[in-house]
Amino acid sequence: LPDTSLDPLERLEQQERDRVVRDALATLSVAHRTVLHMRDHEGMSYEQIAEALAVPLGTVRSRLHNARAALADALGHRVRGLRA
Amino acid sequence: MNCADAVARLSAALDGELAAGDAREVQQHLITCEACARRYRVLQQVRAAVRSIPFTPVDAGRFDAGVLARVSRDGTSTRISGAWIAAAAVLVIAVSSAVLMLQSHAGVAPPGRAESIPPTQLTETPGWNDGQLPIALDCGTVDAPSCVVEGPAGLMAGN
Repeated sequence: LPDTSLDPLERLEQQERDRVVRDALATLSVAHRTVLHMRDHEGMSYEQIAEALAVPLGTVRSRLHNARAALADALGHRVRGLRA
Repeated sequence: MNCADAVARLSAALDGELAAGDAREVQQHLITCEACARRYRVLQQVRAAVRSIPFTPVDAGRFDAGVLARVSRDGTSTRISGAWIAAAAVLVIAVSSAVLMLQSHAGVAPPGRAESIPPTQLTETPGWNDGQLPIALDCGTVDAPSCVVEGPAGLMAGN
């Protein structure tokens, strides 16, 4: 639901930011979106994610990092310079 | 610790998922390496961006993963044994037989098929839309004090 505490201009900016992030998320693979959702929305630990997906802990660690790097790339100039 | 080692650990460091020793090494590296410190800040921004989305687009793969995760976290699952299935089947057969016997005894015609709801009475619910969650707005009137947004439970952004 829209945040009613914001004025119309702030609300528009927030909606635009949300749209940009959603568009960027849509460019990721299902595997990357899955780990991002599990970690950043569901608040699961790496161990819980590894167990749920039946993958090694190291895979969760690298997949999450790659997912965030891919998202940073998709967000373009808004965030830059994550890649080594 | 060199940059390659640090970069490989930045996400885990951000999530507090590194062992104490590794976390200290990464922290020390970030103090001396501006490039990696910048990468760490980018990671913070990316994580904040993901968390800021009110809800997440869901597709089949993620739904499966979410269900798996929830079952795994709760540590509970419902298993129905063969004995329960057999008992339920016996109960259904017994009740059905009793109803049929009563109906034939009383001369009551078996119930016909329930009338389907005319299409005009069906509430139109928005379907999948560009990978977005289906959202049903339950607003009684235009100036209703609040509208309820319904979506799959547990798949909305939690925090």
